[in-house]
Amino acid sequence: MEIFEPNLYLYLSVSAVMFAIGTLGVLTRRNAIVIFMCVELMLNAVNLTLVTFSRFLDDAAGSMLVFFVMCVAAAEAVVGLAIIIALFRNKRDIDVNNFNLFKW
Amino acid sequence: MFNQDLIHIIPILFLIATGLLLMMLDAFKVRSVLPLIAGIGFVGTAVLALPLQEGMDVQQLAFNKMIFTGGLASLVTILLSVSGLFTLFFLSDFLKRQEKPIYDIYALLVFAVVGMILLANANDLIVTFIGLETMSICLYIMAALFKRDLKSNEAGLKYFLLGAFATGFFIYGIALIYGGAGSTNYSSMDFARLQESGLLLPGMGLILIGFLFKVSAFPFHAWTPDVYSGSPTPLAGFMATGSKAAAFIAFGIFLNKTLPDVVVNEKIYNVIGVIALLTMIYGNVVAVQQKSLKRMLAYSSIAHSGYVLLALCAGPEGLMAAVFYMFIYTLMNIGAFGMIGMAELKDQDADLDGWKGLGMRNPWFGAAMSIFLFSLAGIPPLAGFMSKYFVFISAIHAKYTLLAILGIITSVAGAFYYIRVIVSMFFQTTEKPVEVKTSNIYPTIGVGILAALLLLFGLYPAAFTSQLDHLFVLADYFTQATP
Repeated sequence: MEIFEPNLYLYLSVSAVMFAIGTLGVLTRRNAIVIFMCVELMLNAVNLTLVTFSRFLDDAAGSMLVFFVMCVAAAEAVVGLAIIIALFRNKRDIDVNNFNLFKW
Repeated sequence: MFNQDLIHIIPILFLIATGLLLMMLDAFKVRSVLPLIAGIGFVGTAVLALPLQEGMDVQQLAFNKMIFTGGLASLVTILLSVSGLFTLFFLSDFLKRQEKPIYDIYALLVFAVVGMILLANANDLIVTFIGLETMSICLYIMAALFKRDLKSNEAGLKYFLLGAFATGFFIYGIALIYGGAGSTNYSSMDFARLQESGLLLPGMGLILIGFLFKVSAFPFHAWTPDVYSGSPTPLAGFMATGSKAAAFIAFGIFLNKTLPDVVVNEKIYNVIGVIALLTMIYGNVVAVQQKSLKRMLAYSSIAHSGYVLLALCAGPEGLMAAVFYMFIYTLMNIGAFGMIGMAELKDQDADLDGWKGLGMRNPWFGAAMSIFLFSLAGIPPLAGFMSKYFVFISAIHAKYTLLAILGIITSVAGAFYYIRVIVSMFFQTTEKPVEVKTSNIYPTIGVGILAALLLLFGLYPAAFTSQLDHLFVLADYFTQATP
């Protein structure tokens, strides 16, 4: 049985690729702000998946969740940038490799 | 039925109102009453969650089946309010001694508990997500609370970046499950369609990554020690107990609601069992090598996550055991972190060296800390033993006997590093001893209540467990499991 229309896969692939790019960015980049931007890219990839499913399932819950994801992304941006600024004021550096006060 | 819904969530509404009031009072510079009001908020929430009304004692669904209320959900609400309340006992004194007068923290603490209650009572993945993020964003700020302290900054940054990364996986998992099952609500998910669409395993896997990160299970644990040792100590205790309890309960509900209806559930339970075992071994082994008390407790909290994960493999009975475990764990770990905070000097880390001889110089302090540490180690007759007993018995009932035995072995081995602290406190001396100089009476009261509760729970478990069953209509689960 065919559950999804063929077109759906195009949208899902685009969002999966975006998500993968975001993930790779988080893992490879060393600048705290760039890492944070990559996380935002991941969240936006998820938003694309959600609107796609919402459209193809003909169900509003997915679109509604997109708004919540956007809200959360905005709240995270506020807190995250505040933390990064506090750190920059103390250390004049936002390279995550140089944050190594803790050792086990 | 909207009015009925509002009555069901009165505890949460009360706590939100408290949080808003705290923000207003802070804005109008009425600051001396803030801890008191936050405390009233937590106590009020716990009292409102008690089954005061006819028919509120059974677990049911409200708001179009989006959240649980009553029954187990009430018990969880009380658990989380208690974790906030006892954090409060240690917080104001700690901030005063660190000479960092920060007043936003009380509203943050209240809103973090609101997020936790939503997270742990969610019957819908959307509510789970919102609760998780409400909680996490408050916790990021708590970790970075001391903005001129580089350690606190670093803890905040690590927690924030890794937490946001895990959130990305979590919400992607929700999106895939939603696409496959046609709904985010546990009550109306179409599991046959989910399996046929092939989105079950990717979606499930991504959501598991999100949850395992939040509970700091083995491959996703790396942030835990750094964040806990950089955060203000009483708040580290709050992160280790309340946030983990909420995440574990949401995790357990997720597993219990989704797995019974899918074919591959055996494999997923086995994966979680293996992760539980690795988490127990890793946490206990690395904790032995720690010099800093906060880092030691951070690794011990990883080990405790392993025990609760083992319980989650055991289905509905395991969920009950996990709730009980987190309840006791909250009492003992907030106490242990709080006492480390009490002996902490300004801008100085809690080191095992400084604690040598502390028990001889300050016997009451030493005795109370010993109760918390013995309880964490799971030594009878303290409550920590009872909670471990419930977890392992539920795992054995679910035929995870081998895992339970290995878990018991790691638990016994883990007792070593707790007892080492007690030995240092009573039988060793040092050149640079730390002193306990609290600025007010509240931490002492908090320690007294927590230690007394642990002793009572441990000595008379049956009295408490039958009350739990009776109050929250839990099908006599606890009564039957009590030895």
